[in-house]
Amino acid sequence: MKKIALWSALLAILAASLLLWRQWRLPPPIPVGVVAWLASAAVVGSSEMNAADLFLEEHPLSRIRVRPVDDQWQADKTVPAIAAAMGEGVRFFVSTHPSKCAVASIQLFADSRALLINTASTSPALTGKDDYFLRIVADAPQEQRAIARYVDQLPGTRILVLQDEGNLPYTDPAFQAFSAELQSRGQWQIVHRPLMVANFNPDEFHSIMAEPYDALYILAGSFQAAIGNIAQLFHHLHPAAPILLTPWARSPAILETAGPAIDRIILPSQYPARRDAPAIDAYFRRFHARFGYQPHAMTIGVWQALELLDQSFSRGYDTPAQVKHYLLSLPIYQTSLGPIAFDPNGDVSRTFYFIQDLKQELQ
Amino acid sequence: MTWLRRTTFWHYTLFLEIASLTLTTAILFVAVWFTLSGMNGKYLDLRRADAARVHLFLASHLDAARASLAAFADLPEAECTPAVLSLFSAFSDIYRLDPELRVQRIYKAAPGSKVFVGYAFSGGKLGGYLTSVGQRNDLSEIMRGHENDAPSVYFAIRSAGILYLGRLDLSYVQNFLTQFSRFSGTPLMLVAKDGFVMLSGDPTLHIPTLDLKYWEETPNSGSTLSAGNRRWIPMIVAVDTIGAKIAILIPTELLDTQRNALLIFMGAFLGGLILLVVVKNRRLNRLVMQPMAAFAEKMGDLEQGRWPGQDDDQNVRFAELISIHNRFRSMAQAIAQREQSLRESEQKYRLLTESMKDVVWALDIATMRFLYCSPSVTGLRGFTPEEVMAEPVDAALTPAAADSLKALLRDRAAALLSGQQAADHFYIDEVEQPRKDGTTVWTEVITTYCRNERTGQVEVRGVTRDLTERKQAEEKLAAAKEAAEAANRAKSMFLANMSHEIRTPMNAILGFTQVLARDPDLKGAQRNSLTTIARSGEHLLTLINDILDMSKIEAGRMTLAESPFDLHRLIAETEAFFGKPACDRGLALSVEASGLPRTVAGDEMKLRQVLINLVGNAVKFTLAGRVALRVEPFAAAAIRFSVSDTGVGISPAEMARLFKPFSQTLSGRAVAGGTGLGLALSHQFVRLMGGVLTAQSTPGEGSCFSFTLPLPSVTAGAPQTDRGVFPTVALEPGQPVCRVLIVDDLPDNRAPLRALLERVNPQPPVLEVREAADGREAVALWEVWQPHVVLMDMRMPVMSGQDATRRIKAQMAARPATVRSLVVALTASAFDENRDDFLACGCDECVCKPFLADALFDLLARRAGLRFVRAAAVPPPRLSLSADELAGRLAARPEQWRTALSDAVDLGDCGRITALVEQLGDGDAALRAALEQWAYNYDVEAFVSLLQRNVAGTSEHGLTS
Repeated sequence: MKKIALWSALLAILAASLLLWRQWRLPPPIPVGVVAWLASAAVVGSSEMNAADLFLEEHPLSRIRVRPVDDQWQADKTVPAIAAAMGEGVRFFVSTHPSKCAVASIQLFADSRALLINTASTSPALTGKDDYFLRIVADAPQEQRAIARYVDQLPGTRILVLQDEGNLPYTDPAFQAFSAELQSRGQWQIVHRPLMVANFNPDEFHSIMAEPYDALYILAGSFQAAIGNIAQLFHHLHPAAPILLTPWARSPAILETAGPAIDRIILPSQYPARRDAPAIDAYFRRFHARFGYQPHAMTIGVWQALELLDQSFSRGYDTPAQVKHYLLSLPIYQTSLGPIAFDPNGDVSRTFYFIQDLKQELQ
Repeated sequence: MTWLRRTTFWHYTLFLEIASLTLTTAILFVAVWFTLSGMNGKYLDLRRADAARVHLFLASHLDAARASLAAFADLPEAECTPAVLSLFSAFSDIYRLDPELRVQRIYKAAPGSKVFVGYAFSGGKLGGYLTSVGQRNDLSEIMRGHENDAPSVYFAIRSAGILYLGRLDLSYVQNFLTQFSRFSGTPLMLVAKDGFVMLSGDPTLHIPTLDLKYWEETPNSGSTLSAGNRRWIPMIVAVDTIGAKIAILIPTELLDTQRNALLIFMGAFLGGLILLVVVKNRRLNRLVMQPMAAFAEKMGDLEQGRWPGQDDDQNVRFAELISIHNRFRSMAQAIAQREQSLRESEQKYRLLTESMKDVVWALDIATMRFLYCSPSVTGLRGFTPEEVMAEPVDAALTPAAADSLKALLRDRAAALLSGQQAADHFYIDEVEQPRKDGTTVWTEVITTYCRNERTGQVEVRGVTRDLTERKQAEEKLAAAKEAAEAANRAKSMFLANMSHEIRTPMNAILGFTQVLARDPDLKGAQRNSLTTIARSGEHLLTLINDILDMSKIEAGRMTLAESPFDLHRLIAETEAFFGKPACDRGLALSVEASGLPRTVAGDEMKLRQVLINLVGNAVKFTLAGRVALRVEPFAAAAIRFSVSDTGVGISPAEMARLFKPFSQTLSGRAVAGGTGLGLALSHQFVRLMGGVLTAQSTPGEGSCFSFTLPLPSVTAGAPQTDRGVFPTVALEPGQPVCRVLIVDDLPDNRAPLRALLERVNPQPPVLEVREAADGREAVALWEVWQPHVVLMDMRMPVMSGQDATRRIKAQMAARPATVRSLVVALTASAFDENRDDFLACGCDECVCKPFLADALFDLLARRAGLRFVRAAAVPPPRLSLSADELAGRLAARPEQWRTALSDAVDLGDCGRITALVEQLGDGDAALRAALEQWAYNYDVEAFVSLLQRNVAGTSEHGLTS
């Protein structure tokens, strides 16, 4: 009788402990895959991961656990990398890869198995799809029309457009949108030259650039160190001509190779200049103070994407369907680095800013 | 005193073993921790040495490159041919820069270089390095080459004002790093200052950056990095000489293996230890604890009165336990035997208690409940013993009685505990207890309190006895006693009333007698008649006083009036008082008094009365021989009195009722006369004064009465009583007028007083006398007449003398100018407390009726200041005749007269005796005077003695003649 009472008491204590544990335990963490190019010695990749680290350090109660997913920004590696992560139970992703990778992997997010928030793919092939691929950057047509409208305001009539063939899913529609918009305005004559930015040969382009141009537009989908070399060569031949980059070329690494051309480079941006946006400036300062270098601009999107997911998780939405429903249910989300307004398909429209003082912006 | 926390041996052993295990675990843990720390430190040192080797290798390469660039700078421009330039193989690119850091000439360029003439190296880290060439850095930080994006280090050197820049493409180091990493198992990386991994010995790890702020701290096995599904301990070697930091990733497998091995060892050791402890405890439990528990269980059985029975000790392994087992068995047998004895004894005592009619019980004070109650309680109270024991002791009592009972029980228990009362003390109480049928029963409860040594509580053990029969007898007795006392009180009241009623007329008789006695014109016969009246009245008064004294004693209202007095004088007066009668009767009266204190404290009047009675009896009942009064000290502050005679004695049968009132001995009745109160009063007086009157007598030989009284000696002089004053004759003339108010409801009482006062009132009168018939009249008369003296009767209709006195005194207090009247209470009351009441109500003096003229005059002289004229000293009649002479003279009287006298004496007829004595006329004045004195004193015994002597003389005379 005594033993029965003892065991009953132990069982009661165990049951009470379990109940209390279930009641008071912390909600389980949710893995979030950060799809990036984790290449050695590159600002890209490193910046995303460090941005995620910084976010978690500043949000210790977040349920997010970052899981790096390295697709090396190569479309053929994106799907296996993401699928492998999904096989490990990762249901949420944040990506910074270019459009070619996004287009290649979009079928993985056709249903509610997983949800991805893209921060860098602007291909119109991704636009208008009711899937679990959300995008917090404007698509390429919007972006290029904005750049074209800006160019149209510049003095001059002849512009050299160097289209990077390394990311055609982006640069092709981008060029079409840009040229259509600019030609529709009738002021500028576009000289279009495709090239592989990564394989830029100064000797080859010296004669091309030696022609009279009033501006240069380097239409590249992501930052590559050679963009600075190209800009220097053009600046060497046309010291007064402006040089436009795409928003995706924003990287402090350009300070290394652009040389004196940096003073002529105009950088379109989906975010205002640091001097006009204290929150973004503070973010970059915190990042630099923490990791010792300046990240590229895509980490702003990574930060915002993590904020959106964290907000959803904290409200108890922890399945892709719930998170998508939640994110698309409100007209606008105010993140710490700026507002985001999804349309019913999970796309966004953006205002573009044109930053001219890159030394100040990227220092 | 040390406080010990009680626990079981099992728990204590378990506690010690858990403590030992905990301590062992802690020691092992510390040992393992130190071992692991040491091993980790050694291991990390080895890896740090590997990093140093790599650094040495790279540094030597970079030094060689630096030297070759310096040599190149010294070359003349013309000698910089491709053949010469190929000798500087360490550099993939060599430039000459202008001051704007633009490329002026490209001496050597890597294939696919994106640098062209005019390219500016002015931006970024390299621009910063080139700006500071010659100041501090001799090579740049590792960075992506501007030419082909490969990890590179730039060397710049200024020679003859020209800045030469060479780039070392570190791609070739990649192979070294890869091979070294593979060989050593510890991937090596070259890391830029901002943490970017420029070259990695294991690119499959995909580590783009290292958080230098975190990893540059001292490496330890607790800080690990996960990459390639393995955990690593990053170790950063901060070396600036090669433009990069060398990071080495140390795999944790070895450390983990070592740690796990040690932990497994520790776990196995502890597990073994715990297993050992468990096994040991199980053995201990089976071989020691279980037998001990079995012993405890058997002891419990024994305690409950269950005989544990026979058992064997086969399962007991240890000799100590076997010894305990054997002793326990012996002890159990002994206890069983004692219990049997106790049971038999208890049975015996139970039979005793249960067969008793009295109720035997025990009560626990703490719970106020009965512990035991014998069955006889049912007969006594109607409750069964179970009912009594089920309820508190006060269950059937009223709340007040219950509280009182509990308080009494607790007080007695407290007295026992405090030692104020001995443990063997018995309390006997009479308690009226409720019965079950609602009636009550009187019981005698005999209790003793004792402390139960086992429980420490006080218990009461008692016997309750039915007192119904005794109570009934007592009630009857009390009723009889009450009736007797009521009768006695009625008798006393009757006697007191009778005293008052007798004294009132006596007051008139004796008052007027005293008035008439002061008439100088009286003839001899008239005076004799008056004397007879006075004597009869006084005798009657004495008789009444004796009866009153007896009634006062019986009513318990006799009080002592103790005061210092002269013992010597009392004895002398007694001797003088009886000297003549004794002499008249031919007796020798001797008084022996020596060693006595002069003044003693006591009731002189009662002692005098006792002595007069005893000596008077001795003289009266002694025909010949002697009477002796002996007074002597006896012990401290006590004096023994004895009166002995050689009289007729008292028979033993009469001794028993010797001191009974109204009882006389045969000899007493033989001599006739007396009331039978004398000895009874003396006996009571002696008792009141603290002594016992005893008598010893031998018939025919005499008697002896003796008593001892506590008469302490006092040093103060006894008050001198003014004795021997001469009779008052009249008031001195010429005194201030004194107004005297006589207040009495009876004219017969007022008249003698008025007559007496007027008899002594001179001319011109000193006294003015008025009368009032009651208190109210007296008060009214006082208001208008202001008397100096008020002779106030106390017992009057309309308004009593007390009330009248109070009013008069109140008027006197309210009006200080009025005369200060002296109020003298006149009372026929027999009781002394009445006198105190009279004085308390304001009376100044108190005079008993019938009043004595001289006493009254003394009072007026003393309190009212009146001066009286007293008669000259008249010597008392001297009876000089001896007994024989009296007998001779009697014999000369006619025989007829003698026969008549003898008959009168035999009858005790004092009136006849007095008449016969008066017939003697003046023929024999001496004989007549003697006989008149005896007759006046009603001394019949003296007549008897004289007549007997006369008969004897006649016989002798006849014989001789």
